[in-house]
Amino acid sequence: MNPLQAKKNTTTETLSRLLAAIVPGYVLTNTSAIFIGNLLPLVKAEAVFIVSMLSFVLYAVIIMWVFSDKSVKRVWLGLLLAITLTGTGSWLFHTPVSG
Amino acid sequence: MMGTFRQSMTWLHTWTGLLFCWLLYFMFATGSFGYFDTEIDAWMQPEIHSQHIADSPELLRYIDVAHSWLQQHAADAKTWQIRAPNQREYPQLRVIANSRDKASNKLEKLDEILDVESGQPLSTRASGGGQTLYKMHYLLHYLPGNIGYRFVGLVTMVMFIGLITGVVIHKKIFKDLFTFRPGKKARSWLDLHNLLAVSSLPFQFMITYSGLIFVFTLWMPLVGVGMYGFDIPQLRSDVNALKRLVHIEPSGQPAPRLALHAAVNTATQRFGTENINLVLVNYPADANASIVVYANPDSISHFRETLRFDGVSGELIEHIEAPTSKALAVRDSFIGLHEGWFAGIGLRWLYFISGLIGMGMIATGAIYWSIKRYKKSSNPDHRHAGHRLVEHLNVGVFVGLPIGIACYFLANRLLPVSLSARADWEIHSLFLAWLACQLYTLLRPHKSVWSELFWLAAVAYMMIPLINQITTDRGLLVSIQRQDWTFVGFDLSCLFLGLVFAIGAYLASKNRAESHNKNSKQNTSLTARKTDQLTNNRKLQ
Repeated sequence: MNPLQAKKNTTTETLSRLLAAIVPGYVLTNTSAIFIGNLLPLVKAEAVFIVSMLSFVLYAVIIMWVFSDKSVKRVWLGLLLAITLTGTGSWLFHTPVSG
Repeated sequence: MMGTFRQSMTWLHTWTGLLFCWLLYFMFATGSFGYFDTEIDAWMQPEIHSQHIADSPELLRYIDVAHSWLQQHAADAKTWQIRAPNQREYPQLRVIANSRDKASNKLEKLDEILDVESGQPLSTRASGGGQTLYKMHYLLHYLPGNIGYRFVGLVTMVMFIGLITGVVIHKKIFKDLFTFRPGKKARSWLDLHNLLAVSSLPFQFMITYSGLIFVFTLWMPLVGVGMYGFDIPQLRSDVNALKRLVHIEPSGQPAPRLALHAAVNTATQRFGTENINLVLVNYPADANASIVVYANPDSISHFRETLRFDGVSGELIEHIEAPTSKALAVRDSFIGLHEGWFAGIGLRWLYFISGLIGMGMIATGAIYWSIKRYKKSSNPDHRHAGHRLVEHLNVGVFVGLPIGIACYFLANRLLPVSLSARADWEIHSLFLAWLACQLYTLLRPHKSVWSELFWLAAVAYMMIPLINQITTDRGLLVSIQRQDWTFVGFDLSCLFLGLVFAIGAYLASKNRAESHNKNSKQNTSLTARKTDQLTNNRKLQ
């Protein structure tokens, strides 16, 4: 690979990570915060405040992981998987148990 | 991303820092001045002296003055606020009326400082005061609506990332507190950056994280919405219940007369005259009017003991003695820590100095980047355009902004009192002076700009007490005689800042002379440096 090609690849990779941090990273922050909020043994409105405040820490951790993992592919797949899991988990809390 | 975890965190720290350092510096500068917002207000309106309430009958007299003025000028307002002059933030009797214009449905706000003797608003020069300066750190000025506020929230997140990565990339954070190797160019700047950051780290984390707490409803609204399964009305009513917001609709029937005296008397017995923080009246002209009296806060979370009265009978309806929600108390504590309302004069200075250290941390980080890049560049005389931009912005923002702020204070004393839109021109002076400094960096060789602007800053700050002496009757000596510590403090602080900038100018010109001497030797060492660079590059690969 010539140096110019390598530089171009790095730029694409950086942009890809930036996009991952901004879009799915932000979504995961929300879904995971909602998931954690549902687990907290608090009055719902109080839990909203606590996890909303916590969400910035979650986002920071997610961003740091997005920029530190060696594989961009793993970053994207990991984000999407985590969104699916926490999203489904949160959704289950709102589904009334039949019977 | 590149190599180890630490390397990728260094990359993240460098780029988040570099892209946002100037804006963050602006936020730290204007925000730090905010810890003395009331004192700056006082200095910028020298015609007004602070008032003081001695006893309960006097408090009632103040309330009556406010009441009759509001009755005349905002009889059908939605809310009235009466602030008695017995707290730092409100050194005079202040009245605020919020109305909704029936034709345009727009919110209207009346906000006046009243003269207790005449019952009329005090006449003073129009000034933005400390409030406009302080609000810039989250509104950024000149921007419509809450665009600035939104953007600042985003930048605060970047700052948060910058702080965490900054800590992560350190091997020995404790040692950095005692490490400063002067006279070693890039290394010295890095040491200084670390020293400033580590010594004020708790403040930097507190101020950044609590800054984020302000914007969570703006940037993370979906967390609450999602937890409520998108049932927004339920979320809203639950949160209002948590905040104990009672919503009383107006009846449409006119009220006979407000029972202000009865309410204030009951509140005075409970809190004491000196602790009446705010008298709030909801729908003052309506039969469903209510009067809410707040006590001065006595905790970090700014919780205020509250009494709610029926507006017409003056009967006590509700007494809120302590915060009811733990989660809200946590949020309020963060916000209280950020605002520093609870801080006495000593702690207030510590806040201010910590803010200045934050500015130093940001500036030294940016300068370090620039110098390191300078050393790396193969031909320092033909630097990359981006690198030159950073150099210009560094000096133009880090020294130009303080000069702009000095001009804000000077404009307050020098602009004619009759000038229309005078308060706006004070602010324009700030930004015009700053812009002029920025342009100046383009005209002069980079090596001399630092010391020249530092000298200008020194002169500008030292001029402030002098101009104050000439244009008002509240100069430094008079203020000392009157024991007016707000004015004394302001003038002395300006002199001190002037001195600091003068030292900066001296150091910058000394530095320039040294690097000039080195420059003659440099040409020979250029080849040596290139070999160094090659080995470095190889190491990176």
